[in-house]
Amino acid sequence: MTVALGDSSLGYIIDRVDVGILVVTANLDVVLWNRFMAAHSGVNADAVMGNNLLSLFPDLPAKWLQQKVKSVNLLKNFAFTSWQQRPYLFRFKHHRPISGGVTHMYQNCTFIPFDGDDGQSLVCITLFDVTDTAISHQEVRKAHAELEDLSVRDPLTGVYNRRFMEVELDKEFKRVVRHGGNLSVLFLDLDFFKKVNDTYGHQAGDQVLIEATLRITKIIRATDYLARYGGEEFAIVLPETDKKGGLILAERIRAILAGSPVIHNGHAISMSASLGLSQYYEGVDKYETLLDHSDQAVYMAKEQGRNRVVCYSPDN
Amino acid sequence: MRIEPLNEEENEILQEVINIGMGQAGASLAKLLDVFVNLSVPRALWVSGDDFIDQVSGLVAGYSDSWAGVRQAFYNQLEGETFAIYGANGCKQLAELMGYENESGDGVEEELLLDVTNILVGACLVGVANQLGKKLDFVAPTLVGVGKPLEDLLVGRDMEWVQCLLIEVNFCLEEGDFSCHLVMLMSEDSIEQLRGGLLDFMESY
Repeated sequence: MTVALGDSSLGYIIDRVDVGILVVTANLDVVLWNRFMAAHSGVNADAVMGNNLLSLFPDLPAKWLQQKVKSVNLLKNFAFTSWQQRPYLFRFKHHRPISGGVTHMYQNCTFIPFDGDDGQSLVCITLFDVTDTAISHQEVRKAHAELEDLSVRDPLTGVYNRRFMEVELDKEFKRVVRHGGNLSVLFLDLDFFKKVNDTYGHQAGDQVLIEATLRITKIIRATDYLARYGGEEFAIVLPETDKKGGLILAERIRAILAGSPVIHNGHAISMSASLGLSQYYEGVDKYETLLDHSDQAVYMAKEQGRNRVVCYSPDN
Repeated sequence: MRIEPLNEEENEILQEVINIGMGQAGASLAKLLDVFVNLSVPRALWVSGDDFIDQVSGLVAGYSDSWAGVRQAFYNQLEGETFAIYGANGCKQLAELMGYENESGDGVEEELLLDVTNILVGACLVGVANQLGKKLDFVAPTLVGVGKPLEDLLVGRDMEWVQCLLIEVNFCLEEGDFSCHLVMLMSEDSIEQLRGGLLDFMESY
């Protein structure tokens, strides 16, 4: 670097640049502390100079910092820290009392080794305030997570949508084909749903759908996938479940749905469902076939008078 | 403009320069961690064009199914980007030696990966650049991904940069082995600089 400026000008720039700059010895004694550091830490240069950084700021990660300074001194190589892994080195306040949303300043730091005038090993540490970057990054991540969630869920009931259910079913299907094990699919169709809409209105119909999913969600396992398949039709993928277990669950669901009416605007709307179960067996070539079997079983449940469970049998 | 690939002689010198650079990296690491570090003779080869991912996959095949990747850019007379690829265990065994044993939180393992990459890439490239009399500076390393298949880490590559230098090196420590594959992409200007540096280096012998 060639400079046409004198030491006092350079000193002024170092002091006033809006980056935290400090210089420490190998023992972490402070030999430079610029205005950014003084302003944010509330500790003036006079109080810091010549004193040990770790005793001045006991919250610093002592062991890590010692190793870091040792490492850059030994290797004569820059080192870096990023807010993404280490949100800050010094816990400083941020400048966002109004916009808020954060509790501290996010910092990116660089460790720069060099030899002082008398030949002693020094390390310059620079701190960049990257709070704005961190916040916008977090906002993007949050929006991304929300979008991802939206893309797999049914907006009315919040249960999975058909597309996501089929993707997961396909995975489970391939797993049992390759490694063996059980897999069942339960279809569920609410009885006389059109009549609810016609008699009480669509809001009542929506409430029935929501109430049904709430009741079902309460009794299925965390590993089961409940999805809204179509209008009043739902599918539940039951991994590691055979016909016997599937029938027990199906009967519990039937009972909990029919057990009590849905109350809407003072009206008690009775609810029931026809359920069809199918289990994977060798020879079923694709997951769509399982869905088809469950659908046939629901159809039979409807034929036999509704509010009942029918299990698909390959012999029919 | 399509640059000439390095000829056999230039490649030999490059291999030599990298050997010395990695040797220095190993020595630095040993000094820093205070343990014996054995490193394999680095294998350096040029990879170009569309089969980049296949070639890299071929080289690292069998080590692991999931990988962690860290990128670090360098600039000045040599400019480009380095990818460090670690197997499933990353470099966890270095945690204590690097002063991380009191640290906790999600970021610790990631920061360790970044730290180790910075040291290896820094030592190796500075070693190479110093031998060739070239200036070199570094940008902070960033994490590309952890626990992912290799293809996920390497996609998104700028296809303009057709020539990549791939360096494979394994580190064995008393504390347990870890291996790291370094993939380096350099701009065409830099490869010309590299060639110039290699020729000067050869003449200085």
